[in-house]
Amino acid sequence: MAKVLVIDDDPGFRKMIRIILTRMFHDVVEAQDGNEGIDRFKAERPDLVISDIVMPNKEGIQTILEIRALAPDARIIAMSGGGVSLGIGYLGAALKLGANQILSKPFRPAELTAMVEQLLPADTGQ
Amino acid sequence: MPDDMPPAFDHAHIADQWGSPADDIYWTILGIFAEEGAKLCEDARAALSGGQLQALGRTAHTMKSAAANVGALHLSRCARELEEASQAGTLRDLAPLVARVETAWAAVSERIAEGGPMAGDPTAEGSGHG
Repeated sequence: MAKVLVIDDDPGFRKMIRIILTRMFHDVVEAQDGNEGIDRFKAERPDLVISDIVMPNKEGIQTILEIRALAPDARIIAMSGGGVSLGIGYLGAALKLGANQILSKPFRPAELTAMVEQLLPADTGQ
Repeated sequence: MPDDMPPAFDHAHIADQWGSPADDIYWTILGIFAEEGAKLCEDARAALSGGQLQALGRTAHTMKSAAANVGALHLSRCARELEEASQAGTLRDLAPLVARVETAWAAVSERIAEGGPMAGDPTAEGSGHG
């Protein structure tokens, strides 16, 4: 069993990911923006972080950078419904700046399951 | 609703994303979206009234993804147009786009209230919940 931190301002996606990961027998911790996500990361030290990019208060790229600074070996999935800021795609930027994997919204449950299985070490699986 | 408005939900997309009949997760997040969508519309209208372009774009972005996740693709497209316009446009240009999102949301909300995406559509496959 692994502990997964889900950072997203959208309650629907948080709930969806919680159900999928709970079915995989993982523990889920939630945060609704980057500020809360950083606090949760420090307190919980999760095995995996799944973070949205476009969020209020503190957006996802900055959140990923800060988590990476706190824990260089952190496993991070960045997710977004797409979009461009200053000519750079959100997910491409996230991959360059510290995410291990990227997930485009909307995604099928099986896509998330496969990505989580790939990133988590075998001894934290179901 | 205008007669020429696209369907509120795309049944093929829902079947592709969630299976047919749809996974129970789908019905859970549809219930969340029923409340979230209304709040996002209120947030968009408030951001427009307050001249907050960044907040408007962020709200449209959230609506775009959340709507696509439940198969409300017309609403998602309207939200994407608002998101893109809010990054480059002026407030005067954005008012009609906020209104389009509100109209598309009203159609989605109405269909949810009737029982779900396939309610009342005899051509829809996998319309049963559960």
